Amino acid sequence: MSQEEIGSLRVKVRREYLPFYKDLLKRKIFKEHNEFFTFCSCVGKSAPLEGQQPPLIELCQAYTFKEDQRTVLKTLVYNRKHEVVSINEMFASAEILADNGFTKLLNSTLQDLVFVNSDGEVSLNPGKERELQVALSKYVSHKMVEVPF
Amino acid sequence: MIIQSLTLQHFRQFYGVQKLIFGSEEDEIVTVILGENGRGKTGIYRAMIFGLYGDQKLEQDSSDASLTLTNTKALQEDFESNRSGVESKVIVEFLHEGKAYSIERSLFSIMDEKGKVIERVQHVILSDKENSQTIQDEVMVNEWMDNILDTRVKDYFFFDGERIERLTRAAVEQRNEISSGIKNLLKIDHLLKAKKVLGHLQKQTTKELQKHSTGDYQKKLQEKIEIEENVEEIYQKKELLLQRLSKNESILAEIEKKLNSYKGKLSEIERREELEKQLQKEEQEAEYAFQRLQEFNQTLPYMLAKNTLYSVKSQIDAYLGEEITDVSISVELINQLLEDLICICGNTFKDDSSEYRALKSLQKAAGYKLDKAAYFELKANIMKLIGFVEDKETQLQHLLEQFEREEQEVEDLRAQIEAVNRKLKDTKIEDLDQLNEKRENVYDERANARHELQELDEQLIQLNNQKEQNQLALTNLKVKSGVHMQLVEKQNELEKSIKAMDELILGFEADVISELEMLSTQNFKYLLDESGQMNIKSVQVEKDYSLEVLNVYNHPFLANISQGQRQVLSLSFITALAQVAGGTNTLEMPLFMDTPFGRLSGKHQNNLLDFIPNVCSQWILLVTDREFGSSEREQFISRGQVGKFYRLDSTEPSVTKIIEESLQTV
Repeated sequence: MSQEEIGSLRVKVRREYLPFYKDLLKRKIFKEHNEFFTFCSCVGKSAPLEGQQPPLIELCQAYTFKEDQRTVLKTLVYNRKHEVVSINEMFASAEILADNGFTKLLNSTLQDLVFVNSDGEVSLNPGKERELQVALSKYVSHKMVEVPF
Repeated sequence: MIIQSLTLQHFRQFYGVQKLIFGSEEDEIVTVILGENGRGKTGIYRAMIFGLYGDQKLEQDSSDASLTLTNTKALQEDFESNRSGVESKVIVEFLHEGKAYSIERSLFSIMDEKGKVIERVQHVILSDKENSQTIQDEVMVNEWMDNILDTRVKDYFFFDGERIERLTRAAVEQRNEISSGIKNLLKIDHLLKAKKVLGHLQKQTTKELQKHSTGDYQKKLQEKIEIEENVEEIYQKKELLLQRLSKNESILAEIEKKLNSYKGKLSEIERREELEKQLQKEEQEAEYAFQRLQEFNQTLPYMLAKNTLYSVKSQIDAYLGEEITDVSISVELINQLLEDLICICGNTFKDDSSEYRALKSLQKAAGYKLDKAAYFELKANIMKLIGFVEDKETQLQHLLEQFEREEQEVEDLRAQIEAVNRKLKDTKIEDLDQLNEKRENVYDERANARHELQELDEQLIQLNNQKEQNQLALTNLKVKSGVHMQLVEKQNELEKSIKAMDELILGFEADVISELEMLSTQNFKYLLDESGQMNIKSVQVEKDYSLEVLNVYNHPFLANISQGQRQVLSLSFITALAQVAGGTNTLEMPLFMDTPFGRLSGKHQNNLLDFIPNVCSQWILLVTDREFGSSEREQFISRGQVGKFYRLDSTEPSVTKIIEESLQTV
């Protein structure tokens, strides 16, 4: 799907989570926002898609997502809705999954690696880059050997 | 610069007035000065550096060691006669851009009853022989010399062979100095200065504009000024930090030198040195392992989605039902064929024939596929991803284990160094204990300063982002502002000029670096022996002009090469620098080498003797008997490149005579 087809659609995250996304890029852990967003969507894949959601702000443009990343997001959403949905609906659902995934990570893997300020903004503690890298890799490695139910 | 002569008066071992004339004729550019250890080879090297730059100490001298440059015999004679003091002197005569100059520096020294010598600089005179003009102000003379050969890179052209390999080991902080020196040599700093002037003008214009504007535009201009001031402040802080780090490096070098005197007595010092070398190597390996793990990050989401991919594929399979015929022609074409009752091969058929039924079934399949295209597409993409993630678990596991192993090795080495440090802090040798404690403190301070530098760099990135946003806002507001158009235009032009200048500098530097890389690689390959050539693929020149060597697999290899190879690498870079700086001609600069062949293998040495006279305009060699044996002599004689040959002879204590000889009759 080309940039023209996707248009100027923006992908959003919770305001409090944005500094952490930026830290990941600044500390070169991920190269683009779409990578960690897709990661979080996979972590939060079982989040309820209905109900009230927190307000979100722009993270990046939807066209920056690569085809494989869009396939993953489409698959996650299909698994919940059992139908192929439009690109707008897909990203809207993925935003909910990613938000849930981030919250899950925040309460587990990321717990000792982040700093949450009085406004609730999350940022990566300086000097914790290596620990974070290992934690994320191990998280995936463990998930791969877990029984999927 | 071509050095014509060096005159020494009561300087180091050289009693009285003695003079060396250097070979500089077109095909006799080599001067060989042969002397055993202690005969004054380094004295000549000192005289040259003192004469040209006024340095009374060399890098290898410890800062607190008392070093007397005046000849001991002359001082003793003065002490025994009228005690009026001794004048020692160095005169360097040289040609620069076809004009003849000389620099004369003298010292006044006197010795007291206890044998203590007081020595101070007496005068410096730079003479332009053609115009009979002189400069006697030391600062001006030094500035003038800096214009010919920047003091920060003089070590590249006047060096002690034993230390030349250290150019490849320079710490980050020293690299900054060297890099500025190289930029000066390559005339890049002229462009940088021009950019600075434009930047200053732009700042003034912005302030003027801000005074004459109103509302949001004025606010944004104020913001711009503040951002620029913050950026400037950060650069100043960085400068101070770099100075601090550079000072730390000198203190550390000093401490190491003192610690070396205990080397034989305490095996722990050698052990620590060894461990620290290993640590450096392991840290590098751990860094590579970390980078490999990081590169894998974009694959992690696909792995996490693996089960869902399988599950959704099954769901889509179930939804789409049985396998259907693969349809490679369009629905429109099938409809047309059915309407015309003509087969694709041109034959006609009837509406109850088997061909008709086959086409009808194809029509159904094609219609179905069109209807469910999104599902088919998703399924195809899922299958592609499933194939991609198949063996990724093992790969990730391997990368993780590799990284953890390297990290563990680093941790172990750190613990071992810590243990050695503890032992060394408690040797009951007071000096040694203090030295080790000081060493650790400097290490801590260095780590802190480096961390602060990193933070400043991050702040700079943020400020540059703000600057971009501010610039965007200003461009939008400018149209509506109605401010003084002349000022706006002036600012526009300055911005354009700075941008153009930036592009010019970047382009020029990139060209220079790639040329340096190409020539360094070429020179290095030429100078290396066969085994070196097999292992090493190319020389990489980094943005700060530090060097890296890549092996045949394109991996960094500098940490693994020998000291001799490092010497050869340094020489390859220096000659490349001379080639690039010289442009189409050979750079008019001497290569002055004190004991250059000590660590080189026979093959490397032969290659150097072949190579250097072809790429420099003057080569002055200070050698020992061991370095300059009969084969080297014959090699030089056969090439006919030696213009002058001298032997340093010790005639009595503290006195060395410079004797000119013919190379053929030695």
